[in-house]
Amino acid sequence: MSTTKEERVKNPEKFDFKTEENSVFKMEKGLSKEIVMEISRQKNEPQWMLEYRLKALEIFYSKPMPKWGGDMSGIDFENIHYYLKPSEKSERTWDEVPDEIKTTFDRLGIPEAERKFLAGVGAQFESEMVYHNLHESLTAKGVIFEGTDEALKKYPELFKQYFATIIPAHDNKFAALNSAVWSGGSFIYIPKGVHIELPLQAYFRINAQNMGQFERTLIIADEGSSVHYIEGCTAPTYSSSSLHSAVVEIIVKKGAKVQYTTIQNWSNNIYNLVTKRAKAEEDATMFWLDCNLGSKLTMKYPAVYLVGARAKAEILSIALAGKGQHQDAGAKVIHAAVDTTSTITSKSISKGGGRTSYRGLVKIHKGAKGSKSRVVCDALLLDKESRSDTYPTMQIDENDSAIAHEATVAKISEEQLFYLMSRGFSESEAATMLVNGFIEPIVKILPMEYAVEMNRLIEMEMEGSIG
Amino acid sequence: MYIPTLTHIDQGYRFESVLPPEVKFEDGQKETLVTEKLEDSKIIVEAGCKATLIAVLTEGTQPSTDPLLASKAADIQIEFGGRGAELVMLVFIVGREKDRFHFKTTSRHGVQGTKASYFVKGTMFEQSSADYHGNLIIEKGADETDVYLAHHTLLLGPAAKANTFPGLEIEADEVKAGHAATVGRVDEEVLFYLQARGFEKQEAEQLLVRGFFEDLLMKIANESLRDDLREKILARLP
Repeated sequence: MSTTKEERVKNPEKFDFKTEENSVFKMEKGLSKEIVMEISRQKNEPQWMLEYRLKALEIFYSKPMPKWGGDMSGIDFENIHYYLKPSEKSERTWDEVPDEIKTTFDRLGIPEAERKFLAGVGAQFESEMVYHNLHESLTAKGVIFEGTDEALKKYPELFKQYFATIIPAHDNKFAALNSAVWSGGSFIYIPKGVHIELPLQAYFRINAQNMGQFERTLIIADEGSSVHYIEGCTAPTYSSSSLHSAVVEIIVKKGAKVQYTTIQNWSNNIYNLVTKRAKAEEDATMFWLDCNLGSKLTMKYPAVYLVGARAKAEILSIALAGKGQHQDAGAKVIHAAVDTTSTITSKSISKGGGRTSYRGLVKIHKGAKGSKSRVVCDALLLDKESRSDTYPTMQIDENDSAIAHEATVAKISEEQLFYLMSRGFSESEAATMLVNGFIEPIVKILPMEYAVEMNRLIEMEMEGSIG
Repeated sequence: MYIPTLTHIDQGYRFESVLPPEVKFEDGQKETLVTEKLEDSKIIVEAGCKATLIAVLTEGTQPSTDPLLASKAADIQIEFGGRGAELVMLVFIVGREKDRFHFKTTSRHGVQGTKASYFVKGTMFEQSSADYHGNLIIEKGADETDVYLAHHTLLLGPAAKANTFPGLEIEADEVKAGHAATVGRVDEEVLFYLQARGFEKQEAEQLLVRGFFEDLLMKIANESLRDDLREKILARLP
């Protein structure tokens, strides 16, 4: 059950931005039952959560590694810190930050204050004041926007009602891992009929300790509400941990609308294996906007289960893979109710030996009459070293439905390049314009600051690729 | 007598009831192979050959209690020997009762300058189903490859099903590659149009189902072959 608005307004001190840590305890690397118990103890969690974590750990051990997708052979599960407290998280000095990263910050116009934070040079980003003011206006509407750790403590019943109902621990090996060692993430509850105009940004919630290793996010949009949540940023983001395995669960109730935008540009040492899924009830709309720009390997397939009549899913995905990167992304939509619709648009760019793969599923259950689905995947291959794959699956069990899928893979059109060059642009400028135009349908939906950064990022990436 | 190797002389066509395990299109000729049943096969199209492979599938496998038999797909591997090799593959499927059609094509392009297009169209009635995995693979260095794959299905029975898995793996950039798939019923608007012109709904549907295959049939140059295939399809339609 949700807490009443009155309760929350009466006790503002319960909603402090920072969480309190217990003793300083240095945890070794590796995964074990003891470490999971210690994580739970450090967070002071209720018994049911500890039991849940331990059960998930067993599930993790029992499942084999997936035989499909990217190359995960480089993951050394025993050589990872599964929980780092801010006080002992290893950080680098500003001098150690590679020059390209510093240059990127310049080019993208990242404010001075954010650079050190993004580069992993520690020092908490001073977003507290911004957060507090935002927080008050939200609380007045009855909205909950907390870190997942805090939410478990403050809203135990609401939490327990929805936690792990969309992605259970046994869903897949990495969901099991996250379920065992999760920490951080956002918990959002929007009450009936409340519309949040300003996008909620994960950014505001990030303390130094929550650099998103095993984040667990849970968003519940009650009937008729709407919210837009954004996480990540276009700037290359350093993380000391090489394995990121987040879980995001979203419940969109009758008539509600949720948009979840992710822009990920993790540094090239990171395995980013994420399970994201939303359930959309009657007349609800779920919109995933997923931009994958970084990491060594990303495997992420935002999914929507359309379980109520007339529910809608829209998934837009951009993937950019450069040297040494593999973006294995896509979308999954399950139509399990009548008159449901889904649109999946995927744009990917491979350059410098990078590899992008689109992996998707459209499934129409028997009885999901009147369902419509359209999938468009376009890929740009910028040179001979790169690779692009498309692995879509369509499973149609209902004849009263209409499904369409199309995909193209090509390089930048010679004709278009020539046209622009004959009008005075250099080859590099022309190519950049064409690549920006290629992803424009998706970028134009991003909030402006992100769109601007995205375009600049493409510009930078393109400079290297045309000889 | 001098016979030019890149020829417009239609060699007529070769008919094999079942797709042979090995098929070679060679000698720079233009050749058509027609079959009624797909089985595991390795197909090679040599340089300069324009090959056409036509499959009219009107008898699927029947449901089996043996899980291995029930899920077995005919695995067709296609390779290209050199520049100028081209393949057009046309597959017509009419599924009735409990017919099941399950096949896979893997088009592997390792040399430059080849073309391949795969057009699969199916009308699935009653409880029939079709599973088609169509893979287009372009290896590094195989520039000037032009490939396309399309799988279109009309679901016309209450328990009819279709599963389609078009795949692309592209490692060369000077290529054209695309695929498309649609699954659905007969277009309501078009049905209405015909009814408004005096056709009964059932007649209209029949006309549209027949028309569904026409664009693929028109890709066949040999008129008598085209007529034979059309008859075979019509005979199986309800």
